[in-house]
Amino acid sequence: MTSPAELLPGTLDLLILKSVSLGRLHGYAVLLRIEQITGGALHIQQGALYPALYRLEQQGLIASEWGVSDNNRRAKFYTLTALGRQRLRHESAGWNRLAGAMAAALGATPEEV
Amino acid sequence: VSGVFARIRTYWRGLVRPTELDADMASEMRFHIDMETERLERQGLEPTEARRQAALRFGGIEAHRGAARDALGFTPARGLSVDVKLGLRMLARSPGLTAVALFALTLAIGAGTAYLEFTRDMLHGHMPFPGGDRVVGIVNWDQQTGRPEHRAAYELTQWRGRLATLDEIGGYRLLNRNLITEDGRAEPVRGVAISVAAFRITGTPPLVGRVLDANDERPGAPPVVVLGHDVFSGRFGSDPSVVGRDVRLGADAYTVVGVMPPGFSFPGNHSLWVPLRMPESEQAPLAGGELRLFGRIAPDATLGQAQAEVTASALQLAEAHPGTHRHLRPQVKTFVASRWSAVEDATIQTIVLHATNLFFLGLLALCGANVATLVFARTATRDGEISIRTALGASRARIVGQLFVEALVLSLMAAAAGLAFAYYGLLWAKQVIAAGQRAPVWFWWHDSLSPEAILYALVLAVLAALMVGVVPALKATGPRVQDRLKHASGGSAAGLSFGGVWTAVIVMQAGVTVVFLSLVVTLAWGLFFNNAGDRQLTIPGDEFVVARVNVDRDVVPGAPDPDREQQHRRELRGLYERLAERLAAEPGVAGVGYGSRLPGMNHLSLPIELEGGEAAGADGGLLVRSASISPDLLPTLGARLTAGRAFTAADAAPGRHVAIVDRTFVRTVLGGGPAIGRRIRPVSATREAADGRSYALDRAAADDRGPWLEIVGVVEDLTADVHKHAGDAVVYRPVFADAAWPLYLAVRASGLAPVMWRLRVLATEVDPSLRLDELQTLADVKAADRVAIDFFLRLLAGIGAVALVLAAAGIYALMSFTVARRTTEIGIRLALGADPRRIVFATFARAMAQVGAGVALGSVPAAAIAAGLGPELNVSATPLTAGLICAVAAGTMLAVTALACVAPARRALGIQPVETLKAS
Repeated sequence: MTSPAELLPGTLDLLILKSVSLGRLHGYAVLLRIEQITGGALHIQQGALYPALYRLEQQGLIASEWGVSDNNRRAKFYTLTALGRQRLRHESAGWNRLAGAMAAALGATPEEV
Repeated sequence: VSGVFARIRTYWRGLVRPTELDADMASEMRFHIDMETERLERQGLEPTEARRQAALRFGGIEAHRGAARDALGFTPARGLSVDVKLGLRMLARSPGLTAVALFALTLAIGAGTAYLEFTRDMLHGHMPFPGGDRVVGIVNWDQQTGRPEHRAAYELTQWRGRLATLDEIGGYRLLNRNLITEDGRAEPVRGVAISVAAFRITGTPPLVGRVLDANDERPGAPPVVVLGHDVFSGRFGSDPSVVGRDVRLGADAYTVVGVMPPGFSFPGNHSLWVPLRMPESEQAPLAGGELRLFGRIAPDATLGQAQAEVTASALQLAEAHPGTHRHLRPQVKTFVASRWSAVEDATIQTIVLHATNLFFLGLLALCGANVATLVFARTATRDGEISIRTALGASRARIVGQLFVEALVLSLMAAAAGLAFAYYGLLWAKQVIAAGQRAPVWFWWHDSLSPEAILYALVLAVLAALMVGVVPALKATGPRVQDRLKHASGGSAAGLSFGGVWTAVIVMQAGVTVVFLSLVVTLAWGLFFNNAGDRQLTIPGDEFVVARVNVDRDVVPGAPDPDREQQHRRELRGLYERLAERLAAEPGVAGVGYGSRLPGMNHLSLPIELEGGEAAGADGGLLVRSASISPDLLPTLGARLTAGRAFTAADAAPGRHVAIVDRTFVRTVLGGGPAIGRRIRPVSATREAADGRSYALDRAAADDRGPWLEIVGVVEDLTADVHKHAGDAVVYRPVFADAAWPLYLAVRASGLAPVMWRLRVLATEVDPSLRLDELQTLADVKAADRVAIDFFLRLLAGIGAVALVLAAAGIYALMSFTVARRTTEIGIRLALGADPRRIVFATFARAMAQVGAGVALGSVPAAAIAAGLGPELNVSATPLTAGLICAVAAGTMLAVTALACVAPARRALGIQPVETLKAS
């Protein structure tokens, strides 16, 4: 297995939004969900997650509330807001366009030019 | 929208409960690490190792929390609150510096704000009723003489109802009359005869009854009066049944139809309104007496349009009546502006008024520079702290920002105190003005400070903080800060020095202080010593009732006429004599007299020459003071003659030229020699005329000198003072009541209150038009006259004190700084056995040289001020006086410098060589 890739700037926010869009999660679970949906291909410094979470909450893209975790501990849970859902759709479309363009560009052969 | 709310919510939480937010953050991150630890344990790691790995994977918890706080946007705010706390702590740590800085900045900010508010009220005062800003005053200016022409009855008839840009226009003339009630009580009231348009303009509903209406203005309508609230409550006990009652104004009867609510006043501070009636005879060009015009600009018109329309109409009038109106040009100004501008084109006045703000900005700059010196000295002692923080990565902007916030904390405190200072200062100034003009200040002057003034104080505070915080900070954090790091451990201020800029500041400061002090000394000298004549009565002032006697005069058409003036005076004399006769018969009255001035009032100056003395030039002569009095005034006052005789009734007759002088006259003018039989005479009739017609002179004398007056008696001084000079000596001349102008009555009596009451009743019985203004005791007269002088003396004392305190603080800071910087050097020299006195001298030599240079520089303009301003203030302008004033100023400055050096010098002498060497 190759070593995990470094995160591109700006992608962490998108990954958090995506993870939270799949269900109500606490911070640690967000990390696990990202690892799960990326197949462990991306390396995230765990602590860096929190500034990003606060930033998104500050922007009104996610909302938080205190609750109880599976192992009966007090934890802060995050959910996607309507604004966050909108942003996720918009960013995903942009990201897909970019990824498609990059894939096409990198897959180009001499014959195609 | 939800995004905005979320943001506000977190901000709010961060602001009001920052610790809770921090705790939440910590708890959330701890939970994360715990979960990761558990997972690693499940993968088979030892608990300790699992926790170590989890912490490692999480990264620095503090760093992430910092980043999270940043994400929430709290960092700058937190930094700011820390800076504010630091600032408060620094202020508390050096209370001396804080006190001086607060004192200086409070004064500068307060004075600047008070002045701005004062000019705002003066230039743009807001009339306190709806549409008040559209009220205008219209003044005709005579282009030939440059003076206002206030006889405008004709204009009023021409313009009323015919101008499109003014929807209301009216006029008023003053009506100072006795208000006489049914019980016979008579007191003068400030009233106006006014167009009823005034009540439409103000729109203020009456408290009781009705206001004046158009019917009241018609010829033949019953005479009616509307009362102000002060008269209503003061004279009628706020009894609403006053409406419908009859009162008399002087000789005329009126019916009260209404009472206005408290605070209402228009056009000035008036307490009584009667309808303005203009007989046909007054409606010709320049006919009638003084009539001032006011109006209101129509809602859709501007001041400029109103001016254009009025000017166009005035040009037509000039064409129709070239004899009277050729040179008249009306000016339309806002009502407040029309009241204060004494010249046609008030632009220069306005500019001067505004430009004076620069003086106060200069004062702020002076105080700010001073405080900056102090702060720089203190910053220097924090050199180590600054260097270390710089080394630890604090940016220069961060450190300068911190010092700025510290200074801002100080200057905002000063601004708050300055606003209070401005508020109470303005109240005080208004009292002084009211006492000076013997009437309340304009009703549109508010006591509250305007929002503009408060904003201005804040701007001044920021300016002060920039000067006090940023300039020293930039200097202290300059590029050489790294070099100074090596000195930091020593704890001394070795790296910083008071360079050229500060030397200049200190020299300037010493110089400016000397100039300021000499100005203060000269002004105070002029005010204090020259008014010595009206200080401290030697007779019991509370045994006399005094009043100014006037008689109502109707408006007489045409120009002022000397014959009519004479006739008026004769009438007044007749009334006075009847009043005095009635008074003398009253029980408790011990004597009655009169004078153009009474003891304690500011007597007019009179230039005289002494027979057999040196010949006086055209403008020369000795300046003494004089009063024209009744022959029996001096005995009435209980004044003791020390030589010669008293006046007899015959002495007042024209052609008898005698005088009584006081002991100061004998001492200063006659050198203590014999006085009886010596002769004096006024030397300049023109000067005398300008003095206000107070001497009955033989006008037939061809030359401009008065007749020789023989001194027949010497009287004890009626005011006491040890510092009196010739300018305070008084010459008394006996005159009849028609030659004493103004005519002040003095009644000696036991039990003053009943006499005051009887005086008014008797005056009304003699003639309803006989008015007693300024009725009070002689002791109170003195107090009212002194208010303005006291105000300026206190102001000067305040300015002088500020200049001195600032200078002392600056020098103290400089000396302390010098000692701190040279502690090691002094220690070593002391250890080597040097003479402590020489060390002190050597240490302070440079600073003393700077102060000395400043004093020397300042002495030149200081002497010029003393010499130039002295004569204006009747301080003799000899080089000796100027030198003396200058020496007093310089001496005071040097004394303060010496005082400021005491503590630093003691500190220098107290340096323990061994301790110092150990420390370094």
